[in-house]
Amino acid sequence: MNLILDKISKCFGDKIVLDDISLELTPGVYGILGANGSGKTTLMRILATVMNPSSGHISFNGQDINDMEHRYRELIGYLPQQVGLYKSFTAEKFLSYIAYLKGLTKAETQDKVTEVLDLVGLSEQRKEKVGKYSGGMKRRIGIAQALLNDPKLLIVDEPTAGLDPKERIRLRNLLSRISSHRIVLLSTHIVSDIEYIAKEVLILKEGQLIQKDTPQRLLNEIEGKVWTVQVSEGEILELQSKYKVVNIALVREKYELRILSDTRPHIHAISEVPHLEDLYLYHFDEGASQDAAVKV
Amino acid sequence: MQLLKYELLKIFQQKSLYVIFLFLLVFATLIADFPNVDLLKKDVYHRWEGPLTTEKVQQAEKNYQVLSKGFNLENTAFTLTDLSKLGMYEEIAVLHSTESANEKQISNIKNEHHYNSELQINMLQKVDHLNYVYNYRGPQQMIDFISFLSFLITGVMLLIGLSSIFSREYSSGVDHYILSTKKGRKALVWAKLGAALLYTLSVVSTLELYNFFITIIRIGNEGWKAPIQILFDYHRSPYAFNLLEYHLIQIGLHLLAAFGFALLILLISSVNKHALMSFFISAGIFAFPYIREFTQVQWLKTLLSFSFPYVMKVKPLFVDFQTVNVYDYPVLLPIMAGIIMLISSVIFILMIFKVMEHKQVTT
Ligand SMILES: Nc1ncnc2c1ncn2[C@@H]1O[C@H](COP(=O)(O)OP(=O)(O)OP(=O)(O)O)[C@@H](O)[C@H]1O
Ligand SMILES: [Mg+2]
Repeated sequence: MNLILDKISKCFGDKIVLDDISLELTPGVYGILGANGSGKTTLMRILATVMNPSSGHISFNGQDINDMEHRYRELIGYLPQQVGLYKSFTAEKFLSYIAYLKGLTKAETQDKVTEVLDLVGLSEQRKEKVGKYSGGMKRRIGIAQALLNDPKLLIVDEPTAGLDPKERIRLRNLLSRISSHRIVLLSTHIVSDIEYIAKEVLILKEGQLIQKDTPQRLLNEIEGKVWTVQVSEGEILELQSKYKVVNIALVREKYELRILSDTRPHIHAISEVPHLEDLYLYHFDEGASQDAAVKV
Repeated sequence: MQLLKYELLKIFQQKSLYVIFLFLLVFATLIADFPNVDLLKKDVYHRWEGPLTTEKVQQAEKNYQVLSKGFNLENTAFTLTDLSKLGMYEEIAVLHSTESANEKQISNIKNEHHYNSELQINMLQKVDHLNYVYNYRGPQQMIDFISFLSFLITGVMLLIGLSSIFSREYSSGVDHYILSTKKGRKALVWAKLGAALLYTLSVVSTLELYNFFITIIRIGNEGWKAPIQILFDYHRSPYAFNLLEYHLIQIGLHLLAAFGFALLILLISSVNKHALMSFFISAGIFAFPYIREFTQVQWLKTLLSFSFPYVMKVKPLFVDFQTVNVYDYPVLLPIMAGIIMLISSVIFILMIFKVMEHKQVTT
């Protein structure tokens, strides 16, 4: 099973939002990282067939998805970034509605709705109106509906936004578990969501796919470039002006700075094992130092 | 089937519908409540009902003279009973005169040689002579109600019930799911069409039931066999229908036009993100043909009688002999209206499917 994107571009007027994206996806979890406005949602919408690319083709197992029409839609599960719901419907009713839209029979629907509610931990609230749900619960309903048809291709746009830590871990495990025989495409700003489960990480920057590789190989790229050093308050500014400081933490009355640099930034600096977050900040440096400072 | 159920649910769970419908019916009941002249009339009618004989005509004329003379001399106001008697005598006089009027009209047309003269003569010859006195007030009330209020109530109910049918999906964000699912672009559209038509049918039939019962209670249910020419507004009509036949045709055309209008609302809703926007655009389209009331231009008048509100009124199509010239073949206005409604409905349906096939999310 594979999904191939061939030179996908998308423009809104003069603005190029996706620029000539080509890639191949096979079963496993793909994590899309990218700053706000880098085109993640647009890419996922195109894959979910709710938006047309300006140019380029997508094929699933060798068949153009435009020709496949509903046979392609039958295979996908899609969680949009903004979860839409009918406020006056109960969770159960809403999910049944989506199940019928996905072509499930009445009997299948009952079982499936129960199953997905269980997966997202909302079985007990199934008779409550979704209008009264909290933000995180709404998102979980969104995740549940995406799973109703056992999708071969699961497209989830920031599924962890608004989830509490317990639910995030639950979701991460769920995605990892089901990804052995499905393509899962997941966008996020929280790098730890995909650090351990992603087969590959895609990095989008201003509509261009600048990286696509396994987490390990991507990290190798910045191996030896991540440093920590403990300094006094007075030295922070100087280091910030010279280097990319990705984090500042107060440790035993000294400041511990995490720095990205090709060379040792300070005589006391220690080389660290790189994390994906470092990689992310490595690519999206603008303003990173300020962000780090704010975290103090 | 399941999808249809959900679409019906989405329409019928709008609570405002019931409130507004009830309000409109109360309003209709109030403004259509003319005083009990008609109850008095019933007795008067029963006194005169039956074949129109020469004696009856003479008697009525005599009674009329006596009654109106009394008024002149003593200068007193008429009682309601007197008024309805006077009305009755006048009616008998008019009935008496129609036969000769009809014949005169026919012989006039015989001298004309328009593409549609022959049709007109044939039709006029089939019209029943008004040689019978009926109490037709019940049917009249029901027939008038359609052109007087039904069309407006149906229009308003369709507007508020259906404007949001697609827009709701866009504004709630559920369109993202819908458009990415197997059935979201075709089967769902069928379900929405079905639900909208069932809703239309239920509005029209509830209204008809209301009309029927309120008329029965107030006026009664006799006189359905009278020819439509007995109604003053239709006295020139070339259609040989009795009141019952005409009312059924009226309901049929009213419903057909309501279906067409419902489909138009759906189409507008399918391209509008905001239900309110859909509402106002559709309402504008519904209200616009009202300029017909203010124009004297005949072709524009004819054209506008094919618009939704006027076909829903039905009456403007039947009061006169009017045809549309299709390659020298005269097509009667009601038939033309029916054809136009059918064709536009089909076009609307095709357009809705086209819109939904290519629909993309925007936000
Ligand atoms: N319908 C639209 N019309 C015009 N511009 C759009 C439209 N949708 C998206 N854009 C633009 O496309 C760019 C990419 O948007 P997109 O939503 O894909 O980014 P994203 O990576 O998902 O961002 P975020 O992390 O904030 O979700 C943005 O600059 C946005 O302004
Ligand atoms: Mg996004």
